[in-house]
Amino acid sequence: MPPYYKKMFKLFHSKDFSLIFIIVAAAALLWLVLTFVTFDGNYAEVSVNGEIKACLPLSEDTEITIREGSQYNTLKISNGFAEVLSASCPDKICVHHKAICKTGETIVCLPNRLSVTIRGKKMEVDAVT
Amino acid sequence: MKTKKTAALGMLLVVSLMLSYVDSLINFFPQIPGAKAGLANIAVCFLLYRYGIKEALIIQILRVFLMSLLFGNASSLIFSLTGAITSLIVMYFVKKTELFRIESVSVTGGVSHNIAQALSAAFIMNSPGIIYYVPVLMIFGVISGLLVGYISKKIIKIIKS
Repeated sequence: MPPYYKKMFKLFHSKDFSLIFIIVAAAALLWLVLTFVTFDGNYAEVSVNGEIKACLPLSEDTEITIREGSQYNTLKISNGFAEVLSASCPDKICVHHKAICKTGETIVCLPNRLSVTIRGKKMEVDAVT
Repeated sequence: MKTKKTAALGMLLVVSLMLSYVDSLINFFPQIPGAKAGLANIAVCFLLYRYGIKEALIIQILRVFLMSLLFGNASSLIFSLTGAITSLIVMYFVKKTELFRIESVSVTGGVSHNIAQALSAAFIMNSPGIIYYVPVLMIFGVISGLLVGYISKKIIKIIKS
């Protein structure tokens, strides 16, 4: 056999390759499971310091700014996605975070103690306090 | 002769800190807080193969504490510590089987580090949504694990003390 066939044969039969293949396959499997088992949420629950400040339905496009003293986070709901447009925190991790839409997904701003979580059940209070 | 080893470990701690700092600068994945290119694992691999689990464990713990004192906050300490210790334990057992090359050992280390860190972040911040990112983290863990393993192998060959 030509030399490169031998190398390929060795690669596919090595334990290392099997290990890596298993990890990649597990990741793919997990991704499949997650895609089919999770659901788009109904509304975004915004809390600061554990207190719920707003419940925003994902079906309505809105933009609101939550202020707490000198800190603020501007949220935007559009096309069923929730994201943080801008914030007063130094690291802006919340701003860079990908827009979320599935129940359970969360964007957290640790410095501002803000947390935006997607919920699936019906809202009881349809209001911004 | 013990002073020589202590000095060497001290230097390795510093190297590990520097690598960790570079890690924190590179932001592959701004969307996942804490996803890093695992360059710091180069030092871990080196320690594991050159010295042993005890030395590696001490340096890892010291590195995580120092990093969080210098650059992080209290919560990042818990995530990083969980990830670092878990990955070290996993790597130790994988290495012990003597079945795999150093690149694969480092892959398991990287993947378990990311998963452990993500899970602890999900648990503490009470957001199960982080699970959505685990598949991506695993793939990144494999890639960076391979890179780190390759570099570690070269470095272990070069440094002969």
